[in-house]
Amino acid sequence: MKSRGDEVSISGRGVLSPWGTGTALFADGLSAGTPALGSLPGPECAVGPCGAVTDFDPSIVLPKSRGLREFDRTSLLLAGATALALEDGGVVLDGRDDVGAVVGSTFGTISSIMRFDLEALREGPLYASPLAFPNTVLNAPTGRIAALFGFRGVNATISTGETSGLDALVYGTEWLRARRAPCLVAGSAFGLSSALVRAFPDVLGEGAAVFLLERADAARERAAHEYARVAGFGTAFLPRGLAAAPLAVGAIHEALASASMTPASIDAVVAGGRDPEGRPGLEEEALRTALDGASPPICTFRQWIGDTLDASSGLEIAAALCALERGARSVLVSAFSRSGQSSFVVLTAAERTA
Amino acid sequence: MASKPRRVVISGVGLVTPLGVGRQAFWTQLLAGVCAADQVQAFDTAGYRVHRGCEVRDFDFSGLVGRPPTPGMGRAAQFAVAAASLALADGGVEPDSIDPRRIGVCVGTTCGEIQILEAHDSATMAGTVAHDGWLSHHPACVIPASIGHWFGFAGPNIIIPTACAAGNFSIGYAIDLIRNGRADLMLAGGTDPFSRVAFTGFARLGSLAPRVCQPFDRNRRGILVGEGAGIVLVESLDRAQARGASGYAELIGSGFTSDARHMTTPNADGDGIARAMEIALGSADLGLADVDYICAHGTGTPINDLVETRAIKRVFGARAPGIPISSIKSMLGHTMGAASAIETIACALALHEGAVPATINYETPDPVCDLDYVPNESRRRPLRVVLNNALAFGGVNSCLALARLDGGP
Repeated sequence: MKSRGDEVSISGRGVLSPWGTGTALFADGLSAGTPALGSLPGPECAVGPCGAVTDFDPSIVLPKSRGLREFDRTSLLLAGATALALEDGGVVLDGRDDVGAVVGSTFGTISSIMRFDLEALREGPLYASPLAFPNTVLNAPTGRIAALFGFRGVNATISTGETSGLDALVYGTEWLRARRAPCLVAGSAFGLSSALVRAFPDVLGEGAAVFLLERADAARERAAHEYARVAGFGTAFLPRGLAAAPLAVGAIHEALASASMTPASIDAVVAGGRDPEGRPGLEEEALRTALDGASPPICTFRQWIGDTLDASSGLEIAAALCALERGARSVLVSAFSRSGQSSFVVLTAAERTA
Repeated sequence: MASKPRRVVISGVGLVTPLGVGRQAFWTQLLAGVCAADQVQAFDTAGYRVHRGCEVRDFDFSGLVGRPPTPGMGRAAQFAVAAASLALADGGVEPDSIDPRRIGVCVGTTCGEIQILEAHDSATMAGTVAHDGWLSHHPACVIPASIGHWFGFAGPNIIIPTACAAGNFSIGYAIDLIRNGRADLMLAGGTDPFSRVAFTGFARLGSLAPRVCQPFDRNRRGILVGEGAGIVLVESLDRAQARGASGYAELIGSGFTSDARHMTTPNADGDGIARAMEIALGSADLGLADVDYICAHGTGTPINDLVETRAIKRVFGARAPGIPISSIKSMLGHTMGAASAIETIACALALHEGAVPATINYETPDPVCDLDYVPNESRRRPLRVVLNNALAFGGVNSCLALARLDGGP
């Protein structure tokens, strides 16, 4: 059973989306339903429509570092959102050994791997750039921000695809509940590349959403602004051959139960709007069944900014915070991955569980 | 007052390694000090200065699991599914006998299904199409998903690709999931296939050993790229005892830190891995005198082995020279995301069997690496507590603490 000491708050946020850099532009675009699809900037503009973050300027948002030249697009976006979240949360890391980072990233390094491998094939292996090699590991974005911002605690990457933002939030929440640290950053990111825009059947977008997760007692102690509490969560994998909807419904019920809530107490749902391969309509069916007659408004936004893959469920968390700011008391966030993962998180207004 | 955390044990192990497939083959070869290094067969190494690695030869997926892989399943997932199948059988668990919602999967990797992407790149260069569904089968999330789909397991399904420390992270998270009640059983570990990208990258970093891997030796030249998978079956001690499973070892602590400095080079003072060991000891309420063996990360690069030695000295002080420390990478090569999972299994078997694997290929002592590296010959001795270190790209450090279960040697 969860005790008061187990409560985890979101006390900082940083968002980069095709609507622009920062939370305000994200909230405005989300609220107005503004289409933000265009083309990749520069010489790759002809590869197809996509949702690029066109106004992001690392030189303004990020601390000066020579190492930034070696960041790939996903790492840059992640670093940008992290800088915004840390500034927003007002946490000072100097000298701390226990503050870490948990990042959802799966697809964002594919382009870096391909670039390195193709260069080696084209020029010969002895001409591949050793500086490009570190970007080929899947945890490169997390390692990059750890070095840039000085995160000396846990340094973990979650690669569950489209649910990875929620899964990183869950991992981070469990880490704090185990009292291994007072706070950490958790989120997800995905940066576009022409290779993936060409390869994916869907219209892609890019973005990053990073949150300062903090034990509620630590947040209260420093009088931090708390956007939300992570009240509960549930996950289910949906194996082929088993009925998927009951499993997903069970995970939603698990999320509600762990938040001590009922379907009727959910004020809004932020949904990914995506189903696992071969299971069309599953998310809608699972939500309808699990909410059992309650009919809170359901928000999806990928139709306006493209499928931001790993970043998508991180951006869903950001959307849920917007809903809480507009008066909702509790929001269910839902995400399904192509490969069969389903993840659900309940966020509540901070004072509800205080 | 906080209740005592649930005790968690390894009750089954599954291995697909260059030294052999399955617990018995692996352990026999490991204690015999067999070196798996050989000419690389996965791709043509003519353009490289180094041509050796440690591959899993004659891997027979269908023979191990009873039916062929699903269409498109890559080598990393095949290794992982096979190792999971072996772990379940070794632990005496019938997949159909479990509530599918209560068994989860948590694995690690470095690059996921890298061979699928490499084949796609080769085809791109040749102007052909190698793998029609590369985008569906390459991303790392397909690896735990493959295990979930294969066995019909619906519990938590996660991949933590923290490069060469991924196995420790995955097993560490599995401990948490059992302790907090989100799962009754977890299959946890790591997997990686032989990677051209990794081979090229380490070649360009000047970190490939030309002939064999010689951890802690004065003339060590680097790693040998390897491949494989190690999966452990993890559950609570209570549950294991209730079903009559004997188990191999208890997972008693973990520590995870970040250097926060460089992507590929560990901090010279060893602060990051030292802190990970200290946290692991603290989380298990252990004293320095409790540790009987350290399974080192021990890659065989000049810097890694020096840094790890410094870190062990910092943590254990005057006791450091008395602790046996070995690197099984001297036999297996560096199996990347599988490495620390396989090494965790080696630790569990060391506790269970009362034996310490050797560091082979050890020829010339290094004045700056002056601890007991168990040179060339394994040792029989009862062990109570062991540590498993793993470092990784991204400045990642990790340490798991394991203890002998009652009834050990």
